[in-house]
Amino acid sequence: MKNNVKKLSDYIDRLNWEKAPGAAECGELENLYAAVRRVKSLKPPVMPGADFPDKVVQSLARGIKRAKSRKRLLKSAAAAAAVLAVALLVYFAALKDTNIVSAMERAYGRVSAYHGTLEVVFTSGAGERQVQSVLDVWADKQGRYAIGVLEGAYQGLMTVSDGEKVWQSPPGEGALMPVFSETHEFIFELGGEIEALKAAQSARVAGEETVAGRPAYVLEVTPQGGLPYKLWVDKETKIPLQKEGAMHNAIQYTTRYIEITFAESIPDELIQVEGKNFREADIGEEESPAPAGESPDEAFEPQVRVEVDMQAEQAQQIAADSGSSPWRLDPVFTAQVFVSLQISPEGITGEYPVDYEDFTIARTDGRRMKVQVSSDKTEIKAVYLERLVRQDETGIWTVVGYDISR
Amino acid sequence: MNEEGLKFAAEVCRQTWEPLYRYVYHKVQNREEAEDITQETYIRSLAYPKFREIGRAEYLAFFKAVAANLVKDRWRRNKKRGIQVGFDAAANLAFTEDPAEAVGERMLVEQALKTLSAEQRKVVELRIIRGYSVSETARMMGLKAGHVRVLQYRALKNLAVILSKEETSHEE
Repeated sequence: MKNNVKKLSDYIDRLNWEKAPGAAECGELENLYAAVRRVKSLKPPVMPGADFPDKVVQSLARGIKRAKSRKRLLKSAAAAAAVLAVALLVYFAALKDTNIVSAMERAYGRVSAYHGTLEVVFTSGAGERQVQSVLDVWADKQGRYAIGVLEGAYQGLMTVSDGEKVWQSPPGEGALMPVFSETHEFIFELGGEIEALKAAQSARVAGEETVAGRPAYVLEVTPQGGLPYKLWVDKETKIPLQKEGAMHNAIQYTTRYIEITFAESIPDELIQVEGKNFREADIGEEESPAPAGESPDEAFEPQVRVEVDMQAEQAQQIAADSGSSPWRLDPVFTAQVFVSLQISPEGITGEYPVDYEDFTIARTDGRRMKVQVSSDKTEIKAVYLERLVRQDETGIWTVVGYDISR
Repeated sequence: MNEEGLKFAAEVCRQTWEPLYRYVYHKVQNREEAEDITQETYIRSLAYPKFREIGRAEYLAFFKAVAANLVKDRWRRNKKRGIQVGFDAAANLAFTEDPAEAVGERMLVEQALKTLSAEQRKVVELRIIRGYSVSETARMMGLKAGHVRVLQYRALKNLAVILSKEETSHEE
């Protein structure tokens, strides 16, 4: 049943994208798909472009000619092979002329704004995958964006930017949230990806795969600095759909648009912050109040201090700057890895022993953070982190201490 | 195809493409397949040697019959290979589209939707009629994505049963 639940959902998505959904694999799905089509038929049809009749006439000229001359064409295998060779030559000549990067640039040139659901996935060295967060992203070319966290540690957090300033609206009443790199400068901005690709040392089409039901080219990219990564580019629209970093320290990071649509602009009501529960984000000044009777410094004082190798941390920051180990930019994930390694010092294989959901941000001033742990699998009750190398949203988090239950 | 043949094909196509496309779209409910099948219908029909023997008034009915076969073929492609267009059957088919039937079908589906629970109806409306994604629907309904998928599966299972029952009672 579970499989059919997913297949049905994928089928609905394909129809919503006005794409061919593929045939049903069993009687149950056949009935379900038919019911979906009947419900969707309550909506008016999506008509083709104005040039459709011309396209049909052109295909008629080609198609009928092809049908009638099929016998002649297939008279000899040599003739067929020659046709294929010419077709391949034309195909590759076209690829070389236009080249995928400039095709992407041209395609993005026609985009004014886009709306997508971005999924951020971590893969462990053992191949276990974990969805770290799901973001609802609206962005335009003026650098404006509106991002909502649909799933993950910051669920409910809204971040809006007019291209200069950034505002945030935390879920619930008055709870303070840190400005988080994944929402502040979200990590798969299409224009930025194309710019990075243009500046890369090399980029080559390594194959073709399907991402979120869309056929895509797989590009292997070697940036000017940092580790190589892969980029999946929609074959039809030439828009990047997925990015996968190299496996580093047994962790791999993948971001992908599980759906994306293009629009003229971001709806005004999403960018509008006045009269709503938004506050301007200022990392340097944002500070959550310490509990009564506790000074701000005491609030970040751990029971047990962890020794830090600053040289190693500086190297980690350089790695993160070049796209490697981006999980170090996520304090909750950094805390999860730390606690997991205390339980399994020999290394993590498979699932993390403590779930991501068991970690919550208790307090932060943008530079320091206390993450509460609620799991009976560890004695650690709180993890303290600091941005030791760089104190802005691009700085990695380092564990500096922890509290344990007595 | 010679110039005269192409002119004829272009004229037939321009006169009939819109109702044919709408008919195909109604069956497949997506633009990509509707465009492909409409195009394929013309290519196959106009290459049929006896096409000119069909009366002009019957062109659209003929195209619809061919298109219906192409649609069916796509749906059963996994079970059986090979395309069975059935030109002769199509040529003999007096294909008429009853507008009352289309209205009846609409009422049937709307009626079936009313029999669902409020939550199931909402998920079907958001996902299929309004075209929202699972995550958007989940957010609007205050549910988890997995819950939305299960809810829509149950709703469509119920709908499929209700629609088939209603169809049977209509036929009786």
